[in-house]
Amino acid sequence: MLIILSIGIVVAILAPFLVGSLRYSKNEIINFNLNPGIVLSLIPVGMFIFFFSQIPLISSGTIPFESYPWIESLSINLSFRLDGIGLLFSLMITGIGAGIVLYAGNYLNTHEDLGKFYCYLFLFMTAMIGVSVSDNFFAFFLFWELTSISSYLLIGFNHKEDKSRYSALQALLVTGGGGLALFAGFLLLYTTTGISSFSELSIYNGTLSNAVELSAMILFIIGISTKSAQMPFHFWLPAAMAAPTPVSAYLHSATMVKAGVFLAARLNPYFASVEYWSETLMIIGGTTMLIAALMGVTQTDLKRLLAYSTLSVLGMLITLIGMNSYESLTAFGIVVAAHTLYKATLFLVAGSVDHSVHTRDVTQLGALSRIMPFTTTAGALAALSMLGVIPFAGFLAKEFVYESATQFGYNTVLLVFLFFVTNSLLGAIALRTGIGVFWGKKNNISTEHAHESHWQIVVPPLVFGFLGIVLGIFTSGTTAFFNSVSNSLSRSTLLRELHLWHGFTLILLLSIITIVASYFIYTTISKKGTTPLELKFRLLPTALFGSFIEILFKVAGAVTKFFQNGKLRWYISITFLFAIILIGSSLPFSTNALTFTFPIHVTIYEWMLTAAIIVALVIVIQSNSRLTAIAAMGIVGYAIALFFVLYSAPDLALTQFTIETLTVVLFMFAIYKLPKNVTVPDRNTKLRDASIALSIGSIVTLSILFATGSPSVSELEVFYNTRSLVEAYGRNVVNVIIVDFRALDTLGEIIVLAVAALGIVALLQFSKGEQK
Amino acid sequence: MISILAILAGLITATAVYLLLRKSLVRVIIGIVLLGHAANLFLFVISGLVKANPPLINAGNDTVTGVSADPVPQALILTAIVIGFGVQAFAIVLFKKAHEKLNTDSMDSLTATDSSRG
Amino acid sequence: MNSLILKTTVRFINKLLLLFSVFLLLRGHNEPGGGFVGGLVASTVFILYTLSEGYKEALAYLKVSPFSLIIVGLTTAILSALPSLFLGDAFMKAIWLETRIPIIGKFGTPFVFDLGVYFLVLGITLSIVLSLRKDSE
Repeated sequence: MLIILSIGIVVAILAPFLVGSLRYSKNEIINFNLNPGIVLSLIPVGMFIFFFSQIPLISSGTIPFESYPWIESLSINLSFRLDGIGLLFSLMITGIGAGIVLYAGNYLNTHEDLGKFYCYLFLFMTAMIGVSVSDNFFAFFLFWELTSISSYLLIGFNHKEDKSRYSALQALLVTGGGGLALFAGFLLLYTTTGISSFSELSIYNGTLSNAVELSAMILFIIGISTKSAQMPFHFWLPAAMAAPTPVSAYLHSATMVKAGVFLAARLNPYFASVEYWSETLMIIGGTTMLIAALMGVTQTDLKRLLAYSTLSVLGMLITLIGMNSYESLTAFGIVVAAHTLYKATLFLVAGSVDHSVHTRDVTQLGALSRIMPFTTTAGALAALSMLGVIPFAGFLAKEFVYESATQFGYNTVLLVFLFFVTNSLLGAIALRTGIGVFWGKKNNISTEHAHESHWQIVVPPLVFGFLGIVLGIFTSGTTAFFNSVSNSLSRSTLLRELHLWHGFTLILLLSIITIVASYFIYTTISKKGTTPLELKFRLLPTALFGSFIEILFKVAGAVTKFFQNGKLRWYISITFLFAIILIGSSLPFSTNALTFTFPIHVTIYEWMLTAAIIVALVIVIQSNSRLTAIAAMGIVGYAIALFFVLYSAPDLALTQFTIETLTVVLFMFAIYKLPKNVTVPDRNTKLRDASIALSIGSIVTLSILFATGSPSVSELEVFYNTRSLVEAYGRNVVNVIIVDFRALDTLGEIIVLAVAALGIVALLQFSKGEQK
Repeated sequence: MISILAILAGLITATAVYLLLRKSLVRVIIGIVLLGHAANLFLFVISGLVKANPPLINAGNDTVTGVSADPVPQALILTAIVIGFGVQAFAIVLFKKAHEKLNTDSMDSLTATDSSRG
Repeated sequence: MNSLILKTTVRFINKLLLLFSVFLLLRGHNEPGGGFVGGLVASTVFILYTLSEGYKEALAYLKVSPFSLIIVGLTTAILSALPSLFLGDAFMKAIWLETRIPIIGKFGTPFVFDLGVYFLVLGITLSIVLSLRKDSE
């Protein structure tokens, strides 16, 4: 699996070059224009074939596992595990991905950034496969974040539009924020139990404390809800429709938004036994599926209609996991598969229509079946599946959903009712998007220039649409596979035969009534028209998010302006004030004793040096002449050099003497043109600065007195003293440290010096050049 | 003597900080130089003071004899002195150039980025 | 600074100072001294020359550009780190010759490294001081 992921990354890197070379090096000898989409789609097709070939193996219950050590000390490994649900998702990602790649090759044919688009798309595809197959928490998190980032780039693909950029940022902030919660959850589990992978967690039998369990659960649910756009984090998904249609089809219906659902499924084997987990999922999912369906049916934009219906189905999937029953977990896999097929198709169809007629408004669109026969066929196939007509996969999915609701022990009536209303609304959306557009009444829209789309745009939705029937008809052949999917969601082993036809039951009756209700809703809405629901009610989360971002920027701006007002003196004051507070507050807790010995054995030389320094310091501060100040500064340096002589540091003394001389010379050279000190600070400024300066000074003094309180011979000193001659053949230990024991540090230092010199010369040369 | 040097280090630091807070470019640079001195002195003093026994191995011995000065801080300070020189030189040139370009001696005039000043 | 006394003195002590800087470099491993101090002292030779004669004359006296000294110094220092790699040891591990060499004593890669430091410090100091001098004129 590592190979697959590596291929994905490599293709992502190479894609822009491929697009560039195909586009700009027109082959004039053979008049053959190869679309990059055709070439690139071979990659996901190949991956799909690989994953498809794994079906028999996985269905038989085997779970391939591979692991590569990364940071073993932190239990961060690249470990991959291909179980039922991982395989289902991998199949979807590569299968739909192949279609999207092909489709985008024509859809964005003339777009200047097609190369970048493929780069992001393959990056996303890789990340998503990584999410599906990662077993290690941290590898999973890495890929999870990578999906957020690549999705940010894809939503903001039309980056010249404000709306795109804002939507992209919104999606990134919401999913990225959720990602942080998820990371916290993983860390919490890891630090309390040492568990670092899903497979360990699903068989974990130890007990967690209630607090840990509850916190981890809340963190995970935030991660799940943000990624899968559950209420109240749903608002980013409809906004993300600003992305190009292939992206919406891929990320925001088939794959990325299902990552949250996927996470819920991955965690379910352990968390199902945790109190409130199932209930919370059911409440969140149930609310989302109902409200999103209600909001969705009132939309008029094709893509927004589909976006809300996706939200609704995501809610349904979360609910199914929350129900955690024999039937609901089986239903989960089938709904995922069926939804992916029909929703990707409908999005692609919407793109095809938009491409041809240049509008996505369903109240305008109609009677396109003659003009766009293939697109129409694909749309109809998908709509019928979504509506739940036999023998489509959607029918099967609906049957299982109703079955799990009727078999569920508690609140059966409420659940059945919820699913019924949601499904009816979803069916109405299916009719509006897949049927109404093509056979509905033609409105005041010009179809003169409308035409059937290019084959690259038509073939993918047609294939996905047909697969919807294939999956429905060959249901019994998929039993083992779907059982392996539901088994990865639960600790107990579930085996269940799948059949398309269940006989004349209550459930079938429900399905039929649903279709009738859908039709009824559809015709009512078509006649009366609707205003999108979210326009009627200024929806709270969106507004909250907006003002949150606004406040965030304002606060950040104010903080920045306060701390970074551009005045160096202010920065220095702030830095030193914090140093005073931090060091000053820790000094009283020092384990060393403060030792102040009254100087008795002090020679006359030492007193003279001390006096010289103090006098020089006074002169530096008081003097108005620059030359005097510099000379006084030199005196301080020389006096320190003499202290080095007195206290057994001949090397330091030598260096300090020469450097001090050089510094003074440098000042003299540079100072010619520097102006005199003319500004005289007022008394208050002086007092304020003096108090900061004296506090820092006393902290330095106190630190020294504390530090020298307990003199000791360091191990390092002994080490270097005993080895200097024996191992490094040098009698001057200081020099041996510099050029031998710690030579690497010295090498680094002289490189820094060389860079500083380069900088100085460049500064001087650069301005010379400018003056000419 | 440690106490005296501790106070001296404190005084040099205080002077350096006070100068860093001035408006005049020259004073700020002097402050940088003095701060370097103070830091070196600080390192030197906290490692303990030893008179007349530098970390040198005398002929005939294999190791430093007697209570000698610690070579580690000395090696650190030696490189710090030289690096400090590089930094000071850079600061001098930078301020000099800033002054030539903007024709001001006040730190407070150097608050905008070069692009906005043209 | 057009002082005859300074000019005469500088010419007289320059050779001495240069010799002294080499002396500091060579004895650095056993006595106080070494590449840093040696390079700094050597640079004072040329800085004194700049003060007495001017930077153009000093550059002529130096014969090579300060930049080439930086390059030579850095290259020497890095080259001294490489031999150990060929012997399969860690980067920068010291390699010593068995035989003793007059004046220097034991010869090995740390000495070469110190030599690099000497030239680098000389080059850096001179390129800073001379270019600043040039700029001021």
